[in-house]
Amino acid sequence: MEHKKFKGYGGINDLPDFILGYILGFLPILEAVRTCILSRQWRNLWKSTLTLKFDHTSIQNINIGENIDVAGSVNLFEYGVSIRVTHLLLKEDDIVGIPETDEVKDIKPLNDCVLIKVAEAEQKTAGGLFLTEASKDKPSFGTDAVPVNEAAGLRHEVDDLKKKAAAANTPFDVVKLPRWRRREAYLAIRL
Amino acid sequence: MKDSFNPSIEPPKKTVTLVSSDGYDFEVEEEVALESQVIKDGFEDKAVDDREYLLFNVHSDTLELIIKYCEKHVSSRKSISAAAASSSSSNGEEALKEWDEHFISVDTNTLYDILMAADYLNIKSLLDLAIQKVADTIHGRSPEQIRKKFNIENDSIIDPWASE
Repeated sequence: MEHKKFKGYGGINDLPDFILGYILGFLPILEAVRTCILSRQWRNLWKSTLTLKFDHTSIQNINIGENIDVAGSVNLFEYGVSIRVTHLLLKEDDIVGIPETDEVKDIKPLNDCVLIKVAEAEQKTAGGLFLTEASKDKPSFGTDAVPVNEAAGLRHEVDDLKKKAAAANTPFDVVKLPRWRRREAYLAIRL
Repeated sequence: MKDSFNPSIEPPKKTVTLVSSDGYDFEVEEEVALESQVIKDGFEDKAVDDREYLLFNVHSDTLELIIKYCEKHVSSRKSISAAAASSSSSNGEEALKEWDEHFISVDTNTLYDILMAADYLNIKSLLDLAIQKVADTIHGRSPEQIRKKFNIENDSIIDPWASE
């Protein structure tokens, strides 16, 4: 009888993806998402986490008077598991820019930023968190750092992003979130 | 007459034999083996006389550690509940936590082996312990540091959407 020897993993990459996804579920959400830029294998791993861990550094209360903050609501539909991530709130510092179109395939990732599109915050809970409403097809909104130019389209935006990112010495990367209620979601976060 | 039953005499401990992937037999007490949800499910489904489990995915080195973990947790649970019953103060849970921490402080390959075995045998507490350990090594590191730490080659720069 031949016995399979199960010793000696070459490294973390040799663990099955579902285990890696499980591991990412133990990390704060931004750190989990950030692993998407490690390599091709890791790009989509974080979406397979069964839990996304929010903590005080990833969830920021935002003031309604300031439009520099972004609130989003993301639904992850992967492997038949529906995970509702509500209120992904990021500080202005985290946002590099937001493109308008869905043709993000043209964007090349740069070092250590990710790009995620978010929906506009429409409602505010009693606790001060913004809610989004998927039924209304509101456009994403940009930040003060990179104003959204509706006519210019994505290419311009990305060039703009790259310039600004280069100027600020904060290159960015792109991640495509799973469909968020029939809309693609992208968001730029500085890593 | 059936009154010869004497509760003070313990019945002989039931044991289960676990066979590792490299063919070693490990005889463990039933309650220790039942820490594994997989074996527990097998017990409930199958005839009781099936007392040998072939674990094709668990090497003997790893199985030894797993059994050590399960035995510790079974005995700790007993002493914790005994302490609770006699309402005497006990730091059993903290001691167990410390023991866990020490137990999981192993080299990376052993950690991955434990992780895979815990998943295979479905031992939730051990799986969480191992996963947390790996997550701790990722936590707080920059992408570049993670790549270096885990030997991950960055192949994503050129065409990030090629797979779609």
